[in-house]
Amino acid sequence: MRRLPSRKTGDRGQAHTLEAVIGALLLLTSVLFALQSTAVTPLSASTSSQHIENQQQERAQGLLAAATENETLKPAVLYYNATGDRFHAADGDSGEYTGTRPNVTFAQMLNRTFTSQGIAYNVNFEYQTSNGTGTSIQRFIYNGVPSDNAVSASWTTVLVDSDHLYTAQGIQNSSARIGDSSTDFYIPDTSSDTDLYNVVRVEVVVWRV
Amino acid sequence: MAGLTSPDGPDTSGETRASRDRAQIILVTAFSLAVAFVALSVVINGAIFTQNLATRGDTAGGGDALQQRQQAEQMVGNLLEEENAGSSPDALALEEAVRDLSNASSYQQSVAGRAVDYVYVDETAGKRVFQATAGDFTNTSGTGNWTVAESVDNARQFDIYVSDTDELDDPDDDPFTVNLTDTLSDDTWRLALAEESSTLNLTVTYTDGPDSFSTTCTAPEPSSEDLTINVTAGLFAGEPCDALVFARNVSGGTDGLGTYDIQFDNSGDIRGTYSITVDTTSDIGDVPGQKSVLYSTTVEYTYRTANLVYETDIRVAPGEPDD
Repeated sequence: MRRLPSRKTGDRGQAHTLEAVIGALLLLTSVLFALQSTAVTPLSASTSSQHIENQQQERAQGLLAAATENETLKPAVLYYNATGDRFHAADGDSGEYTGTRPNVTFAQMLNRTFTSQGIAYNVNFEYQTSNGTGTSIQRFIYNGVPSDNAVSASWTTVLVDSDHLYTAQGIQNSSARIGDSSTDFYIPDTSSDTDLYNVVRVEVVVWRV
Repeated sequence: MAGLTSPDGPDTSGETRASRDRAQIILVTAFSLAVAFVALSVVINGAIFTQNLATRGDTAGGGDALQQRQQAEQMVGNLLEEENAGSSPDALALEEAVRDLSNASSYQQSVAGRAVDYVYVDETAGKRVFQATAGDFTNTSGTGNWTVAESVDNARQFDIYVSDTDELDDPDDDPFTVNLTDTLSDDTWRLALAEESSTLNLTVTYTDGPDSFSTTCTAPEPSSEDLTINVTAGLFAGEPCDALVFARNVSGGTDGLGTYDIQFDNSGDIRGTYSITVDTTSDIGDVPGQKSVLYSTTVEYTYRTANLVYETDIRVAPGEPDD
């Protein structure tokens, strides 16, 4: 029996519209879900940016190794203005560099490696506290809070009693031997009976901006 | 899924039945679409995760262990140098410093989820032969050809500073040379330092049985007329010099089989200072300056993570040719 074009056709139109709307909703949520799990924005942490993170980490690690090899890492740790309780000409609240940059080779290396590539970095010095049961962190260069996909690389170096603080011009200050109790230094001597002064872990945190 | 099947009940209207069928089809389509999209995103994520794993390098972290080893070597080297800089280098004091270093760094490393430990094993005594004030390189009795060190296995941090390059001889006029002679095979290694028409020449000659090989590095004479040669580091006037491979083909090394003697010849033809650290303590008379130092030290290094254990003895001798 042939059906007559009646109310039924009107019902079907409604159903079609509903189907289209639900279909669109499903499609959108699926796309959203897929985007959530893959993430494409440069700042969001995800598995897909792992490749870049690996490269940045390796680069930071290589930079630290190079700085140790050409003996520019320790001068950065020792680039300290004892009377001002801060690094030379540092503008940060806890004696670190926020807007300005220290006049040391290590900072120039960091600038050349990261800043020109649009990569931000923080540098921290972690050292043992005087009782030897914990560590403290002194910021050296601070560019802000790292994003979720920041990576860090670190290098440990020793300070010995006969190391000297560096002047603002980057030369050793012969009157500021860190092993002498008269020298005011942010890192304490944890091993007063030996030549060892303290062990400093230099940490570089890098992230894309 | 209660709404998917048509309930069994009185169904009189053909119209209602058709609408219900339609609704069922829409729902089933929607569900299958949803399943398809979820499956798709799982596949995409799987691909990304595979790439992620593939780019991670070694998962056990062997590179970290070696990197930490390099840092250990540098840190112990720093402590060794510091001990040697003191008035009376003492192995016991170095041992204590290494112990404190181990304690301090193990705390810092434990934060990164790994246990690192250094245990002092032993040391090699040696001496530093040097001339601290600029002058010619003769010994204290004024002899031009004299032995600086005998029966040497290894030497490190051999630096020569020339204060006046004008004093250097012509290449063919018996210039100042450093001679190394193998005590077993009589092979020699020779470094000659000369100046010719404002060019500084460093010529290295070594023998292998009857054969002799010679290469020269040159540098322009600086207006300051001084020159630094880091012999064991292979640097001539601050630049890498390919010819300068210290003690090439003369015995030495840690095997303890062969040794060599170090001699200065024509040392009246040079002005400046020098310093060399050797792993022998035998006394040579008439040396301008010498001091007993610790030549090298061995530290047992242990690196542990959840899935890797690395343990080795590190021999630390800062400034050795192969360092």
